Amino acid sequence: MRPDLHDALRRLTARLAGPRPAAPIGREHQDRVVPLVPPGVWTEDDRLARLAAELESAGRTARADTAAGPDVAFAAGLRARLLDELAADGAVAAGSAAPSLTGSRATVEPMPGIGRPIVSTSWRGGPLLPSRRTIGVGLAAVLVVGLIGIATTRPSADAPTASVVAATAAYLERDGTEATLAEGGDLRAGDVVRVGPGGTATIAIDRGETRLAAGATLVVRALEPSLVDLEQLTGRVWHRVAVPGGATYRVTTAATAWSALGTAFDLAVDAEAITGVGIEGSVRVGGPDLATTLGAGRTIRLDRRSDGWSTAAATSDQLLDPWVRSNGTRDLALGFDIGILTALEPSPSTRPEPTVATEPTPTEPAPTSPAPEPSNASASPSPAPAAKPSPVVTPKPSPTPTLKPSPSPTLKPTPEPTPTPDRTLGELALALTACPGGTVLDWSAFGGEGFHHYAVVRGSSSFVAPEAYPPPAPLVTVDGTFTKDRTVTEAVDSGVAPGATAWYRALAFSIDDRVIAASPAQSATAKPTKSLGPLTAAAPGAGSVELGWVPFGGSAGCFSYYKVVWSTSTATPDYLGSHDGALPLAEQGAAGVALDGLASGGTWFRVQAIRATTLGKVVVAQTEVAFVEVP
Amino acid sequence: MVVPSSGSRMDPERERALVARSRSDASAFAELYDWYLPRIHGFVARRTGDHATAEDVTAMTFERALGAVRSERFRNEAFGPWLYRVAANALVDHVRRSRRTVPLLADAPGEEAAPGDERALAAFAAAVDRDAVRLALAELAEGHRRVLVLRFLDDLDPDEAAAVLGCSRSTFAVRLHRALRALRGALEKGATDAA
Repeated sequence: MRPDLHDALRRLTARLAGPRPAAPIGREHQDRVVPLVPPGVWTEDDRLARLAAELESAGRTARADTAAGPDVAFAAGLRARLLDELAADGAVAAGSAAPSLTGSRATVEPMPGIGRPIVSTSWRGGPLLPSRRTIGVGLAAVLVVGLIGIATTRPSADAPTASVVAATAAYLERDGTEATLAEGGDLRAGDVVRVGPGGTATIAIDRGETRLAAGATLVVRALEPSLVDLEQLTGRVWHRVAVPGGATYRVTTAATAWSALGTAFDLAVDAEAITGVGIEGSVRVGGPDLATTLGAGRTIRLDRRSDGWSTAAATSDQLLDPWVRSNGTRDLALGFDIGILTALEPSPSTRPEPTVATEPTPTEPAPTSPAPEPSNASASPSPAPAAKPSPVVTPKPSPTPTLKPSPSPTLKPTPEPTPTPDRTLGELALALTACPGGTVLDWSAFGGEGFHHYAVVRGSSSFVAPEAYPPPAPLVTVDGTFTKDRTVTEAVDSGVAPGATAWYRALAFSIDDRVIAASPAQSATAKPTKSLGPLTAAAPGAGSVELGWVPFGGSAGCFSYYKVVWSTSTATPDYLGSHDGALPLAEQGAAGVALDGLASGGTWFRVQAIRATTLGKVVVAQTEVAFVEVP
Repeated sequence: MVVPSSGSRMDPERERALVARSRSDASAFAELYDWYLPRIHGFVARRTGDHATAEDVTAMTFERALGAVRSERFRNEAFGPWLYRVAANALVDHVRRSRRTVPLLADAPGEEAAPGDERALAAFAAAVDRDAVRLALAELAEGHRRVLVLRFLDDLDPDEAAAVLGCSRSTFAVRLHRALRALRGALEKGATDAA
C-alpha cells in the first residue's frame, strides 16, 4: 500500500465514530484492494450507479449502527412545549399527547483529538428528562394524564408488567369474556378491569401501583417498553407511577389533555366532572381551553358539561379522605415519597399492612388520626410536618386554610392592608428536588397575559410572594433563574450551603417587574455533592486508559449523565470548570469506560455525575481525581 | 428506536398543507414534528458526540421552525429542506458558542469541514464493506465527501441536501455526480497503485 494512502486511512479510522469497529486494514489486506469492476465491461454510468448502490448500502448500515433515536422523554417534552406555544397563540390543540416513541440507544462517539472511546455499557430510554415537560395537548374530547417515568434507572428494554396484586369484587374483561379478576394474574393490552360495588383492585405496573376504587373501570391500552397507556373510564383510581426510565405513563379519560410531572395523583371520573388531586410532584394539565399545572396539594376540577375548569388548594376534606390517606399509607409502606401527605403520615405503629387501599367512603373514619390540618398549599406552604397524629381521633377536617383571612369583618378598619399572598396572582406550581450539590427547581409555565420573565426567589424561611422586583431582603433571586422564555421552567440552585433549608417561590413578572403569578412557597434542604470514591485507572497500552468507578446510586431525577473529564494541565478537572476533554455517558449504572487515542503523558481524570436543567447544570456526585501516565 | 425510513420524504403537497395549517392547528405542526424529529435528530446526532448536545441542537432547530411557522415564513419555501438547513446552521452556532466542550470533529485538512461532518464521514466509512472504497473516501476532497455523506449517510432528498449546502437542486445533482466520479477515480487510482 502506498504510504500516503496508508496514512490517510489511519487518519480516517482514528476518527471512526460508529459502534461498528473499523475493519483492520494493513498490508495483509492488500489483496482485497481490487478494481471495482473489470475495465471495459461497464459504462461510466453503470460504474457510478454500482458505486452509488454500494454507498447506499453503507449508508443504511451506518444509520442502523448508529441509530440512536431521540430519547422518548426529550421527544415528548419538546413536542409538548412546542405545541403549547402554538396553543398559546390560539391554535387548535394537537391530536395526541405524545408520539409513540420507543426507547432509544445512544452510542458514545469519539472526542476531538482522541481516537475512539470504547464504552462498556449503553443506555436505553435514559433518564435525561427534559426540563420543559409541558402539557401534552390531546385529542379533543379526550383527557390524557401522562407521566414520564423518572423513578428508576432500570433500562426499559422490556415491556412493563402489569399484575394483579389484590382484587375484591373485581372483574376482568378479556377478548369479550368477563371473569373474576384473579390475584397474581397478569394483565395485557386490551384488558378491561372493572370493580364492582364494595370492591377494590390493585394492579402493580412495573414498580408502581394503580389502585382502583369501587365503581372504577380501567382499560389497559398498551404495555410497551416506552409507554404504559391506560384509559380511565369511570370511578376513582390512585396512580402511583414508577415506570422504567424513559417510559411514559399515560392515563386517558374524557375531556381535555394533560401531562404530568408528579409521581402520585388521584383521579376521579364521574358523569359531571373529572377531579384530580396532586399528591407528589406536579401534574400539568392542558387542552384546547386549558393549560395549567397541578401541584402537590392542589386540585383541579373539570366540568364535563361546560368544559370549564378550576383549580384550588386541595381541601382538608380531600387530603384527609380515607381513600387518599390509605393510599398514602400504602405508598409509604412501599417506600415512596408521599409528598403533600407527609404531614399526615401515621406513626409506624399505626401503619396498616400494605394491602389494597380502602374504598373511598368520605364518611368513614380514617384508620389513624389526621390531627394536623393540611395547610392550604397556596396560602401556606406548611413547613411543619412535625406533629404526629395521635392514634384514635376521628378525622376533623377543617375547611379553613391555615392562613385564610378572618371572614368576620372587624369594626376597626385596618389602616394597612394585610398582604394576602396569591390572592390576585396567577398560579404557578413549583416542584423541588433536593439533589446532591443543588436543588432542582421545576415550575409550571405561566399561560396568562402580560408575561415578561420568570425568576425564582429564595428565602431562609417561608415568605409571601413579593409584589415586585427586587424582592425585599433577605429574599434573594436564585442565580440563573431569570428567563424571558415562558416555556423554560427548570433551573437548579447550588447556592445553598449543604444542610440548610431554603424556601422558594417561582414568580412570573410583567415587563414593569411586577409579580403577576407566583407558586406556593416550597422548601428543600440542600445536600452536599456526593463522593463516588476513588477512580480506578489503568493504562493497558499506548494512548489507552481504562477507568472504573462506583455508579451514582442517587435518584434518577438527580441524574442526567456522567461526564468523564480529563486534563493535562489541572489536577482538578471539572466539567463545569477547567478541563481539556469530556466524554458523556448517559447510563446511570455505567461503572467503567475505556478510552484510547489519548495523547501520551501525565493526565488527570475524574468522573462527574451531572444533573442538567435548561438553565443550568450541577455536579451531583464525583469521583476522586486519578492521575495516569498515559503511555 | 426511531429510525426514519430510507429515502422517504413527506409528500410535498401534504407538507405544504400542514405548514399552512400549523399556525391555527397544532395537530398539523405535531405531524410535521413527528415526521421530522427522528430525521433531524439523526442528522444532528451523527455529527455530535454528545447526547445532550444533539438534543440541544435538535430542540433549537424545532424552536426556530416553530418561530418560522408562527410568522408564516413558509409560503414559498419547502419546510423539510429548510429544516435541515436550520439544523446545519444550528450545529455551526452551537460549535461557535461552546467549541471547547462540544465533541465535534472539525479539524479536517484542506477545505474546511462543516461541524461534525468528519465524524459523520468516519461513521459512514466504517460501514463501507470494501477497504478500497474506504481508502478512496479518505482521499476525496472535503467538498466531495460532504456531498456523499449528505446523500448516502443522511439519506437526504436532493432538495434537502441542496438546502444544507446552500445550492440549487440542479447544482447539487452536478456536485453529487462529480463526487461519485471523483470517488471512482480514487478507486481506480488506488487499484493501479496497488497493482
